[in-house]
Order: sequence, then C-alpha cells, then structure tokens
Amino acid sequence: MKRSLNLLTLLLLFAVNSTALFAQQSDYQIKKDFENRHAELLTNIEMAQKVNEIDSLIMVIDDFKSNFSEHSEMLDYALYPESFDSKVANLKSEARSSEHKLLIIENQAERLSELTEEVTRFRSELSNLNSRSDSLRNAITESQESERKLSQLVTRYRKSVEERDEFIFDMVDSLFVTYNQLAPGTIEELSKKDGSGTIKSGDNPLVIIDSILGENIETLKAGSNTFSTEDYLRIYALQTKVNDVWNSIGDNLVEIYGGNDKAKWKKSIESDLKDWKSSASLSMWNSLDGYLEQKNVELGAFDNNSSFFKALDSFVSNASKKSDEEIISSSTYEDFKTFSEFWTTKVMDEWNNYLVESDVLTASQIATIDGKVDNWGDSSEPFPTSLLIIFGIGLLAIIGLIVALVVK
Amino acid sequence: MKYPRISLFVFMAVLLFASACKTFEVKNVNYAQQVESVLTPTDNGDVTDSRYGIAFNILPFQYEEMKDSSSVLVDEVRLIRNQNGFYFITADGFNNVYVMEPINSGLKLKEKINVTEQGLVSPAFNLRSPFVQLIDTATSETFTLNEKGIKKEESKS
Repeated sequence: MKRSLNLLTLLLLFAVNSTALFAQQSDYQIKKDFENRHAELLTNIEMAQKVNEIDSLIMVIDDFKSNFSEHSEMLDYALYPESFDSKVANLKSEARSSEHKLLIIENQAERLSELTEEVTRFRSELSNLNSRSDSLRNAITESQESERKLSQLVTRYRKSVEERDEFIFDMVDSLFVTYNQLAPGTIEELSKKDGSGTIKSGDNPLVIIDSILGENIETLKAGSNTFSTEDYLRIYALQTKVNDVWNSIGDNLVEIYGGNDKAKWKKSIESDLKDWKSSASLSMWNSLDGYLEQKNVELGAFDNNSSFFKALDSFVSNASKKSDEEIISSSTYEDFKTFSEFWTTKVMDEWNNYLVESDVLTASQIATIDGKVDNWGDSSEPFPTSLLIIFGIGLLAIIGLIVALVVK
Repeated sequence: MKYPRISLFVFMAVLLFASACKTFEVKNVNYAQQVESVLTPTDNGDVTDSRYGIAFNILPFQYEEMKDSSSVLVDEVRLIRNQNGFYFITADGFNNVYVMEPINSGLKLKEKINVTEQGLVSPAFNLRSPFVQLIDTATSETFTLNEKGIKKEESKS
C-alpha cells in the first residue's frame, strides 16, 4: 500500500513537473514545432513507397493531432489563414491520396509482373510459330514433290501463318489492355523499375513488337505465290490493328522499356510499321483486284478504301440500272449471279471480319452495297417461261375470239 | 451686438459638434497579438512584421541596451503586443524588455523593464492575457509583465 502511494506521488510529481515545463514553452516554438512536424510528415507521405508505410503514417498523423490538440486555439490563430484542423486534414488528405496512388502502382507493378510472364510466353509461342512457318516455307521452296504434296505444304503453311496472326491479334489486345490504362505517374514508376533491370531484354515488349514487324515484312515478301486474298486481308487487318495499338500505347511502351534508346526504338518501330503497312496494303489491293478479275467482276480501278467502295457502288448501281432497262431479256442476270456469289460468300461471310477490322469497307458501306445488290437481283431476274407460255396462250385466245366475232 | 442670440446659438452648435467629434471613441478594443513575432533584422537593423504591419529599426534599442549601434548585434527581435496596445520588445543579449507605446509615426518608451543583469539568452514572449509572459527558454526563467513592469516572478529553475 505504502509502495503504491509512493508510486502515485512520483507520478503526480512527474505530471506537475511536466506541466510546469510545458508552461514554460514558447507559443512561437510550439507553432514552429507544429509546422516542422507537419512538413516532415508531408515529406514522409511523399516519399512513401508502400501502402503499409502510409498506413503507419496515418497513425502517426493521429498522434500528431492529439499531441498538439491542446494548443489548437493558439495554433488556429498562429497558422491563419489556415488552421490546426485544416493542416491536419491536409495531411490526412495527402496520405489518402498517396495511398490511393500507391495502391494503383502496386497493382500496376503486379500486372507488369504478370505481363512480363505473359510476354515470355508470347515470345516462346511466337518463336515456335515462326519457325514452323519458316520450315514450311523452306519446304515449299525446295520441294521437288508432286503437285498434290506441294499443295498440302502450301495449305499447311497458310494455316500456320494464320495461327500466328491470330496469336498476334490476341497478344496486341493484351498489350493494349495493360498499357493503355496506366494511371498517371505509373509510367514513370515502371520506367524506373525497368531501368533497374527487372525486365530481361528478351521479355521487353518492344523487342517482341520489333520481331513481329520484321517477321511479317519478311512473310509478305516470301509468300507472294502462296497466299490467298483472304490471307492478305487478314495480314492487312493485323497490320491495321498493330498500328492502332502502337498509336495508343507506343509512347507508354517506349517510355517504360526504351531505356536510354527511347528515340531509337520509336524511330525503328515506326519505320518498320510504315514498311509493313505499305507492303501489306499493296499486296492486299493487288490480290483483291486479281481475285475480282479472275471472277470476271469488272470493277473500275481501285487502290484504297475509298476508291474500292466507289468502284463497288458504281458497278452495282450501273448494273442495277441496266437491268431495270431490260424488260423481257435478262442478259445482266448472269453478271448478277457472278457478283452475288462473290458478295455473299466472300464479302458478307469469309472476308467480312477482316474487311471491317481493317476499314477496307465499313459496316455501313457494306449495308449500302448489300441493299443495292438486293435491288439489282430483283430487277435482273428473268421473266419465268411458264408465265410467258400462259401469256402467249391468253393472247392467242383473245385474237381467236376477235377473229370469230369479225367473221360472224 | 446686432444678433447676439444668433451668434450664441452658432457658437454653441459649433462647440457641440466639435465636442461630439472629439469624443467619438470605441472602448474595449483588444490589440492583443496571440503569438509573438520573431523578426530577423536586416544589415541596417530594420525589422518588418508583415502580418501585423509594423516596421522599425532595432538599432536605437540596441544602443539603449549595449551602447553600440555601429552594427547589428542581435539575431532575432521578439515582439508582442498586449491587449492595451503596448508593444513589448526584446532580443537575445538584452537585459530589459522595452514597453513601447505607438505614437504618430513612431514608438515611445512607456516602460523599460529590467529582467536580468546577465542578458537574456533565448527570450520568448507568450500572451497570457491580460499579461505578457517572458521566458528565457535557455534558463527557463519566466516573468509576468504588463506595461507597468514585472507583475510577478513565477519561477526560477
């Protein structure tokens, strides 16, 4: 009991002395301490690298608030036009904002790590697909086999290139989703991470994109005898997609993965994209022109999206007009059947996705032509023979009746 | 005296008006500055308190205190105003607190309060209305002051 009383006395003495010491503090010094501690906490918040650091800082801010709360009235005056509460609220707001930012960055870093794994998988898959296509291409070149065997090789090669192109479609989609939604500030953070060497050069998306471009330019050069119009349309659509994705995320990728050669990477990829575009475009239009010529569909000259639509529109409109002018004979019906087969099997079915994806024809342009093709079909259909016979019998009956009446 | 009554009336009216103007005043104004100002003198000894709108030269105080105004010898000037509008001014190395009354374009000494003979090492003012508290934070000495002098010495550690 006595010991407890002594302890209580000691504590009371300590409390009294503390109060006395506190009473001798300068208000100005308290204000300076408050400001210094505030600035220190603000710096700590800005420098925090992890969400749990911010969580600890929020607790420190609570302590800071309770430590100075007894001087809040004096501080309100001394800090005017700010106040004790506004300064503490500012700290908390900064902490929350920083926490939010760090959460995004941590999330992005996690996504980056996943993407790096994905890029590694892409690289190996792409390499397999490329080597398979290359070996098939070589086999075609060197083949002394029968025509049937050669044809099988060509089909396998085309299938292999198609698989590779589908894979690239998926890959650029994945890249786009990841890098197009990077939060402000994240690119800088990721760039620092990359600079520290966390990304191996082989897993660098820029290297992958560069190899895709190189491989595709090479494929176009080598595949002139083996590709169909559909292949060229797919390649053109793929090129358009890669180009669009690069325009959206290229700057981010270069910023993150370009290291010290940002300008060089940008220039190199953009130059390859340009080469691929001109090569894919030329091959696709030539192949389309050749296909239509082979099918005896004589459109006017075209070499781009706009002139192709105009040629189609003009061809169908003129043919439809010509059919309207024919009453009994139907010389344009064969033309209609030829065009209609091309239109329904190719444009509306097999090529449709590629045409729309690459903007060779837009969905509304296809709908416009489709409507005109239907009209052309209605007007070019020949008059049925049975109706002609009935019409002839009817006519003869009327003439007979008239003759009989006259004789009578 | 043609119009003695009118003259008297005018005289009374002027007197009344003048006295009314002269006696217009507002009572219970609180001039108190809640937290002291800590001002750093320029090379010429000028100090400016932009928040409370006062600027003066510290060298006359320094001369009064140290008999030397050839150069600035104080690091920081401490200034606070009590609720009656008197400025309390001191600085490191001073033995006194100067209670100054604002006058037309100047400050007039109201009281020179001697607080130590050894010179204040690290003085600081707190407003503890109606008094001003002076602390030497280096020695923990405290003084409770008003414009008339030391009210009461509270503690010495």
